[in-house]
Amino acid sequence: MSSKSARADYWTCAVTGLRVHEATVPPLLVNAVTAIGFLLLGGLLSVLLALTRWEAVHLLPANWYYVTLTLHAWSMLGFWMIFFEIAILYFASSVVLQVPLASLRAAWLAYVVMIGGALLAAVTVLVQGDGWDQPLLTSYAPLKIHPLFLLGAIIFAVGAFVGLGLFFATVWRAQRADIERRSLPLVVFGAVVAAIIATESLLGGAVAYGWYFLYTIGVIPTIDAEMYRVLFWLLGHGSQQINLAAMVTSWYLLAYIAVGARTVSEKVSRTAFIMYALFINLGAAHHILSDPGVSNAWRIFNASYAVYGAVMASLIHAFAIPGSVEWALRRQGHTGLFGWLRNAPWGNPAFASLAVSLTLFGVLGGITGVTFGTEQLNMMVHNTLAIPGHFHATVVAGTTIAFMGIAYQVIQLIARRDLLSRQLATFQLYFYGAAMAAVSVAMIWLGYFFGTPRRHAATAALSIVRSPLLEAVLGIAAMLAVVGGILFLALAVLSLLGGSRRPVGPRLAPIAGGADARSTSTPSPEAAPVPHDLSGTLTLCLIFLALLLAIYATHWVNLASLWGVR
Amino acid sequence: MSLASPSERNWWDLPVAVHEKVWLIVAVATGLVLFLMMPFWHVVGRQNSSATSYRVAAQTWYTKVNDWVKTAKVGSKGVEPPGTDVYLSAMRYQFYPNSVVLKTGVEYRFHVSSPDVNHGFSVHKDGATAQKVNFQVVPGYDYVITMEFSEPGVYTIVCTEYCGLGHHEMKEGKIIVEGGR
Repeated sequence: MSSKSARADYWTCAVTGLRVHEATVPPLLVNAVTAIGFLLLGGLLSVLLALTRWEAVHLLPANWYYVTLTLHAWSMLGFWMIFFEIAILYFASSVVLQVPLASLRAAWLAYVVMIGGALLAAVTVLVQGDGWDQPLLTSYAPLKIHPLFLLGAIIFAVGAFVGLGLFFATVWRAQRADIERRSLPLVVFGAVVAAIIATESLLGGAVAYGWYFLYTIGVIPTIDAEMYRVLFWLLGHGSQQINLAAMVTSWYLLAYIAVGARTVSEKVSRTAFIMYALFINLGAAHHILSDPGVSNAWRIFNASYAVYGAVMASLIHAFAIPGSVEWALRRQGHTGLFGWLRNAPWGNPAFASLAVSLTLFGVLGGITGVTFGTEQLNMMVHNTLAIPGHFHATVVAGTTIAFMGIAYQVIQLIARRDLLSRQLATFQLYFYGAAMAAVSVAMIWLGYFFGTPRRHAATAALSIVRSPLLEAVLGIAAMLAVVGGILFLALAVLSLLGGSRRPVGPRLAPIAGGADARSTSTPSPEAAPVPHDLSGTLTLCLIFLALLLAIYATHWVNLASLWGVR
Repeated sequence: MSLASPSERNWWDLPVAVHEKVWLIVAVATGLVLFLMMPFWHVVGRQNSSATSYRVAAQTWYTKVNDWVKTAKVGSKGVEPPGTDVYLSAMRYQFYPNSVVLKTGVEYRFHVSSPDVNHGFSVHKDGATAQKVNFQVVPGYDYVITMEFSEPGVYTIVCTEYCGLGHHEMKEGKIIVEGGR
């Protein structure tokens, strides 16, 4: 198998100069296209949900609301993300390191098992009927969840394990074969961290679901509901940290593709990734902050990711990535505090996706994440719509837009098709970002100020205060976001089918800043190894931090206005 | 360039740019402030998450709540607790008792649990925005949350956790707080 693969054909990417192994392309594309299919499904379902939460419309009856919520959550947070991440791992191992996948058979096995598990889980919740509880995303024991749903989720996790193993094996073989003993490229390093987090997270999920499965089929008589929640959130939050690491990795890649950026310090950026690997799994505790059964010391240590180890890592990337863009653009001759930013390629889909994703993730997702994840502040938002508001900012406005940017690149560089319209692709990213920002803000506002519960099919019947205006904003913005999502899908599919065929290497035009293929990596004395002026990025970051601290302080002031609780 | 190995073999020894160093110091300081706020608020703040809980079997819990209701005075507005302990059971699809009458300025120990599945214990001050606390109700755990209301008024208890197909029909509970001593 391997010797045959080694002789197989390579072609050279005209933009990056990477030699792409022909046989890697089909599994990579099939995973990416399957992911986008689930994105479409989840997106269409989101319209039904938003129109139900907009109580003036109240589209779905309760039973269908819970079915739709389950399918939406699993399509998006589970299947869209993990399938696309498997594609990114194949890219980061086989394509970037320019070696064949360690086993093509394993790649197809992983895919078949994953899609089988995903379909089993999805079909079960659709046809199980009203005799069983809907699992939603969280399937908290001891709800009466259909065992076939749990089995489907376990099978999906097993398939993902095969994909992860294949990734690790491919990276291992490439490094063993590298006689120069070079360090991994930064993108691969980030992908390795994402894969480590994925392994931990899926292991936690397999244990939680395995245990629950044995309970639902009657093998074990009781299940500890709190311990289940702790184990579940290893998967529930952990899987979103795979997205985080994969998204940050994508940001470094997009910054390189857009302006030829290299990170301002390999040492600092890699250390930040290692901090993710060490601390970010503690984020699972954010869901237990308002629960019985744990001590305050446990909450403080875990909620802070061990003294904010993982938040510091995110702050480092938040500087390093715009900093690398500033450095690259200054080398091209742009000056002034923000002259480089004004002259950045805002009309390039790679840059647009980076800018929109990074800004919305940080400002909406990051700030709410830090405040909501604080032990005491969590009491004000636990199980309100503010929590899905937070993670629609991180997972949709952040990760999904970064992945859309990557998908546009995959179409051009791996499938070798021109986009039908780069202008339309750029417009799509800004439009989708604006709509998703409105969705997130409406949910955060509803949850924080009005206490609107999440996972609730009829909030109009409650006697708590409501905001029909914000509900309308949520409903309309969600519909606009789906229009933006369909535009992405149409552009992607039509470009794949009808885009003009791109030529293969030798390289046409080198990207500014220089793209050395791994095989020809040589020290370049003319490139200054340390940037001198990153004042624009530092200013932007300090403005962001001031906003974060202002919002954080406001939350404490609001908390202090409550009655006594302890 | 992020797609290739670092072109300098000694990348670990390269100096870090001065602006990035400034940011690293700021990031560490921010992390410390965020971390220290939590223990600090336990010392000076009046609103903290409760860490008191006891394991309780469903049957024991059921008995405890009923025994407590028997000792309490049941008025027209709701249950008036005999002491400072208040028992509240969240179950599919109601709170029991569904209304309690309390006084301002008294520290009550709420015991919340469930005989069936997870529920939410979310207390909203009626008509107010951003005046609410939310806790998880977990079967098998008697979660003790101490609350002291400073203003009289009606507070609504909402189940904020999905507890089955009838979750949205779960009846609200009420805490009626009257001016105290």
